[in-house]
Amino acid sequence: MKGRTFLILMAGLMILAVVLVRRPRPSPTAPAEPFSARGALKPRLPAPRMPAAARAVEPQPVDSRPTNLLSRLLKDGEALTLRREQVEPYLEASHRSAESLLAAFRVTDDPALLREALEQHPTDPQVNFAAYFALKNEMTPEERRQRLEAFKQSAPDNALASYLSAQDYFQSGQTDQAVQELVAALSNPRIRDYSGDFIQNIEEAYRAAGYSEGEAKAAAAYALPLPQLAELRRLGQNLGELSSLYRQAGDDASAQAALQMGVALGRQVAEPSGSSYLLHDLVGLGIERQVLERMDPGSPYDTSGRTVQDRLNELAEHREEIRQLQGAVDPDGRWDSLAGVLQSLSEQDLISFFDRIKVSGEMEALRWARARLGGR
Amino acid sequence: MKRNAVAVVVAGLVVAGWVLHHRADRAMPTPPEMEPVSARGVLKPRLPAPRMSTRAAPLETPTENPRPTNAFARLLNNDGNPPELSRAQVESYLAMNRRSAESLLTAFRLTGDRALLQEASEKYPNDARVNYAAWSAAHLDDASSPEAVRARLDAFKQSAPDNALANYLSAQHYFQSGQSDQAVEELIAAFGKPNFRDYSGEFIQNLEEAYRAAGYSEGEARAAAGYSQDSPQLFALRELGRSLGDLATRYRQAGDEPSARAVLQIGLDVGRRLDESAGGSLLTRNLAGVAIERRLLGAMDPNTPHDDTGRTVQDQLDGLAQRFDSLRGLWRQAEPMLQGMSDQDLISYFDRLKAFGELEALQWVVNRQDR
Repeated sequence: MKGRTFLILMAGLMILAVVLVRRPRPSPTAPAEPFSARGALKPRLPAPRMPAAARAVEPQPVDSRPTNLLSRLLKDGEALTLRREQVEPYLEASHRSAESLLAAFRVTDDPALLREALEQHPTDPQVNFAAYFALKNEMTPEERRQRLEAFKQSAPDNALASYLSAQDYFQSGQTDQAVQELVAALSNPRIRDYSGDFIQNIEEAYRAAGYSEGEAKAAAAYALPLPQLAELRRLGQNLGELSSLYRQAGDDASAQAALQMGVALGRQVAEPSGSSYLLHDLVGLGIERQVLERMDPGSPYDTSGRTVQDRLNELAEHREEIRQLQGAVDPDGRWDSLAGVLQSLSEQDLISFFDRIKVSGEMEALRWARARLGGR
Repeated sequence: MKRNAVAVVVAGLVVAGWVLHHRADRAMPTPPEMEPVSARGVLKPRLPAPRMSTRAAPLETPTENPRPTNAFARLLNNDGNPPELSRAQVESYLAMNRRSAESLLTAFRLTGDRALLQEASEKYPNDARVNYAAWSAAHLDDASSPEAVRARLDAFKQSAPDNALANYLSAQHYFQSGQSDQAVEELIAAFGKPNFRDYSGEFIQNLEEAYRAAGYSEGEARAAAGYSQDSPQLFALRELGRSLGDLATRYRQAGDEPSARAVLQIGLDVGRRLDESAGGSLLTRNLAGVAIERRLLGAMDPNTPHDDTGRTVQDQLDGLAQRFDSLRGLWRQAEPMLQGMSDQDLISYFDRLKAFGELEALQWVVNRQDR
């Protein structure tokens, strides 16, 4: 009976949410609508002006891992770069497919391979995604926009394309266009950053070059660049600022909508489609926390009765869980906590560990490793 | 061959179902609203729902139960059946994994010993994978009472609150026992949940480790694990598609067109979710999704708008028919290629199957060899 009552209540709340959404204009009073409702609110246009940000000069803390597992284990910190002739057999066996060219580009750092991928496979989303980040710092704003448009066009169902585009618009001070991109992103429930594809391909490239299963998997997983996370974190910050500007302009509904988008962004980042890494979790929860901290902690978070403060507490618990997990597997407290675990695992277990990252995500893989090593 | 035969039977059933529904559709009045059916999150069926008769549990066996042959299994000369492990090998694997939840489930799968599932349920009552496996075992066991299956489903729902699959399976169980209102409530709950997990990727991973621990090579372990999964959920979800079609008809007969359309929309969403590949998913999952969509759309006026792009229901049906053919064609195209692959490529194939699903893995095979 209790469950039935709850479900009826839920259904009622959902209907209420639909009714609220369908209202032509939001109430000028501060909305008490659950915060994480999807696709409900949209911010007003034109949006308040935001200053164009200078090109980012700060180091990108989530762009690259400070250590590379395989190099630490096998090469004393040297990056595991292959020579062009080492990847040619792999490229030929793969018929120089888009993904093989990208993998070869990653492991050799040879820009000619990226150029070839762009020329041969201009509509491939992975190629456009990789090219955007590989060439980002060398491109003019117009070229950058062109590259982003190519990515959007080749990946119409991927919210990541819209988010990156929105961030680029924010950066160039085109707030209205940024908001339009964010609204477009809402219709796609998932972010796809091709991490799993990338790892799989690069792993095959290493294997084809003669590396063992374990080495190939470790090298691939730890060579994974996640440059998009830095962009998405900045996008979260921009959404917070946009919300403040809307509020200063007296448009609470749009302010609320901007924050709601920030929450959605944080959750999407933490749960990408495909392989997920601890960095996804950390950046995602960081974005969501930062957005929620701008809210009244007593306001409802969702239709389950949770408040914003409840959700903040959950995020803090999740962060603590990650910290404890890292500590449990790496008592030395190094930034790359995996090294401690991986030095203890057999090659067979290393293979399982990296496969588990692909299947269940890094968090689950670390839990498995901890249990495997006798931890609780 | 076995797989081809399964595909042909599935195709036959789908065609028969489509014809039957299409015929029934001719007698139906034109829906008063012309709102696109694929819009999400707008329509909800009215409660209480029209009564539906209680149906006995279907006696037929799942026709799409995926146990196809594969190149590596043939290489092992075992006619597609995964190799059996001795009890000692299984015990060693369990000990190595400290009888974790997933190792107990894997051992249960390998030996069929229910004591292992029981041990997992007792030690890990809140583990979603354990509760899902327990539901699966109860669902497939003719001796299980409806109450026992319900208890398993409730435990699964509780342990996986974000997983829409638990609600869908629960909804079908309610339909089966004639409790349409509860079924509709479950469907409404499922609609807002983005996750749809049947743990196939994890299942394959664990099985692979068990084979590896027993001394099988990388390639052998992957091949043995890759096609070892049962998929009772696919059969249950296809039944759910049928139940939703029936419910929509009854709403329509009761003059409640919006609820009928809401129910169809929910059913189409189930079909679409199945047709989205995920780690470890087999082509049979995609085919089941397409079949559900075709069945539900087949019961509609073909001239109704399907979405806001101007496509009609008939356009969508045509697209689904093409997709059905291309899915079957993909397997036919890839199978001989798989048989000729090197061990290294087979490892990549099974890794891709585990991480992205069989559809993407097969496409990789074809792209790799067909340029």
